[in-house]
Amino acid sequence: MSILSEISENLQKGRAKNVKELVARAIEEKYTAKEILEEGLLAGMSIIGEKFKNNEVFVPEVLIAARAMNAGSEILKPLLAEDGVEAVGKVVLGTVKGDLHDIGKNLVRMMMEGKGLEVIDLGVDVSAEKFVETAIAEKAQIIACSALLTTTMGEIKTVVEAVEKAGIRDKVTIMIGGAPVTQSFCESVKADIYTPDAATAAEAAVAAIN
Amino acid sequence: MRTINIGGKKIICDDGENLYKALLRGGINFNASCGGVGTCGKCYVDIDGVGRVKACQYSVKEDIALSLSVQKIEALTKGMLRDVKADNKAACIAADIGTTTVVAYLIKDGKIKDAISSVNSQKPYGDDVITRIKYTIDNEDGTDRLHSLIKNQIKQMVSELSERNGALVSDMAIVGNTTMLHLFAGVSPASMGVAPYTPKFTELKKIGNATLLPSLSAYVGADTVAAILASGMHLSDKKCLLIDIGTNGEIALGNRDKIITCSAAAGPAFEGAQISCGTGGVAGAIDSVKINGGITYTTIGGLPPVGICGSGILDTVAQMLKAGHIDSSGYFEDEILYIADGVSITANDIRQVQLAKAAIAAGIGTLVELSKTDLSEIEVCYLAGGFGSFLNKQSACDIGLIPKELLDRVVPIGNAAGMGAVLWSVSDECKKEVQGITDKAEYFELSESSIFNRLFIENMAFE
Ligand code: B12
Repeated sequence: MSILSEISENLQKGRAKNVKELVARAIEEKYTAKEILEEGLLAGMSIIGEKFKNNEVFVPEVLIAARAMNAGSEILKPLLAEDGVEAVGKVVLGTVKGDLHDIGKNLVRMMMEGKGLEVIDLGVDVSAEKFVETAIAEKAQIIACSALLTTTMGEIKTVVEAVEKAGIRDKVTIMIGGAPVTQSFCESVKADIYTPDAATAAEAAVAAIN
Repeated sequence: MRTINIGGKKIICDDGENLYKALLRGGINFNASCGGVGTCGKCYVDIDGVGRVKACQYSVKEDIALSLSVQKIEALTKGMLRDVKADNKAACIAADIGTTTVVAYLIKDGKIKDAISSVNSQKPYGDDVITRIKYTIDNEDGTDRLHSLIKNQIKQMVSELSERNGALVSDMAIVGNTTMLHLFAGVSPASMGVAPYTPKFTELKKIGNATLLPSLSAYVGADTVAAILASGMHLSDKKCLLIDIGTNGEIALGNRDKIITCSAAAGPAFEGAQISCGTGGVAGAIDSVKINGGITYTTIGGLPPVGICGSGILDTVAQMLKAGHIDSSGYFEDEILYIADGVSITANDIRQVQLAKAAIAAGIGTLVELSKTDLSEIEVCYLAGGFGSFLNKQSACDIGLIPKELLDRVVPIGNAAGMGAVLWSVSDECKKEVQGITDKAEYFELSESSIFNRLFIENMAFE
């Protein structure tokens, strides 16, 4: 097995320590940072995402795989910067105001990072202004909002309106999700993309940027 | 103007009106946990000439005739009642306003003389408290409407109880979750729908001849305070655990010195919602399952199976684990298992069970860690509420809903909230004890607790 597929395999099993060692070895063996990232780390995360979508793995497996990915990408980060490799795109992510649920949102972050996106995670209880301010300051292409409560999903509409008011509606794609959110809700608040799960969210984000 | 004909009963609605809303207005009681946004799949109706549709996704553009199978929900009225000295001999009422069902007791000479239960008349406005709160936010007259529904329902129950017992009742003790108490009092629950989830009141409240027992927080209400009272854990030397396994998953741990509580929002999976063939504890629901080569099951009332309820779901998952249909991570290779004709469990159902049981288990674990309790110190694990009374405790421990160490110490105590309200009504000592419980009990907020988060993930697997 090539070292890159070994990285992918170990990442899928959540073996952070192995991933770290393998990434270091791959660098020694003169693979480029971009190759290691794409064919090792991101390839592994892609498979995890696919399995998550198909109910083959669940939240804990995704979390440990993501931890392994982070262990590897920490080492790669300076090299990627040196080589001038840029992230696929930038996403501002958070759980909307009044809502403190963050597990689903965290999975979205991990899956997006697993697709090579840079994610600015604003945490929970994030106001519409904060989403907009950060998106402008960071020149993000996507604002992604998570809402887990029937009572807070309305806050998504406030975000859409704040984006319009700031005059950046044509510059950002608004993605929304969380258990009570649906496609028809997405249409009714004039957000752009809804997906039912984190893996699909990451794919849709990449597609929206390209 | 359009007419909806339901087996003779007619509802008039506007052209293009949403069918779900029209039916609600007409008093049709759905089990719709999503409140009509198209996700829970519990409002299917069969329209003549059209077929099966989700009522909430259908607009009425012509006169239609339809049939529905509204399922009957039975409330648990019985519970463990400890011996107390009866100071109040007069006829009075104790009521437990649950989100799903309302139970009222007629008490005389310090004893329960009669009990009556009915489905909460607010139920068409959502299965869980959050959906009801949302209704009061979206509709200006929402609080008033839900308030008068419950007020009238209680009034009706009281008059039925007093009539059929020929008793003249004076006072009434009321328990319920904090949202139900707000709505009974006609106070808007809106501030409890978003963080930081602040109730408008938690203290004991008198409204006319009714006394609302005190709550501890937005999501640990007077029903839990009453359940603690009924269990007697506040008088015990040894530590006791009290769990109400339901949508809001209230948990209390402690003894006479201190009690700590939390609410682990498990969701309605154990009430059958969010499960593909799930149903409440209705006639025909599969309520116990054994997998031993083949699959055998029982149903409520011995009727042909209509779906599977909480205790059946619990058994199925425990048995599937044992039989190797699912592994300890919850992976279900076959993706679907048929239990009976038309009743199955899917890979997604297993995931829903994992979320619900992990929330409860992590809630318990958080309180255990915070109070530096060793599981061996816990003398009794009381299960309050309907589901706790019907579940197979072996299955509950096998899937990790309740810590395995506690298996032999699990004691179901039925409608403990209702029993607590009864005790409060008859005993002066218990009235004092309720005050003591609110002084001694502490509420711990699980949101943003790193202990809960760690345990929630750890408990998702079936180890
Ligand atoms: C865990 C949990 C909690 C934890 C939160 C921990 C945390 N750090 O997040 C705690 C216990 C703190 C909590 C609190 C509350 N909770 Co809670 N909670 C849950 C639970 C059990 C699981 C939620 C979860 O993490 N799911 C797993 C993740 C992976 O799924 P997900 O979030 O849906 O995310 C996926 C998709 O939706 C999507 N996605 C998510 N975000 C985004 C964003 C974008 C842009 C996209 C594209 C996709 C996407 O991708 C994810 C992965 O595929 C659910 C019930 C259930 N069984 O679902 C209730 C639930 C969400 N909670 C609920 C409620 C009401 C509360 C409370 C407000 C009140 C309460 N106690 O009941 C409290 C707050 C106060 C308190 N502590 O009591 C309700 C909401 C009901 C409703 N109608 O809105 C639920 C449904 C349970 C119930 N009572 O019915 N809760």
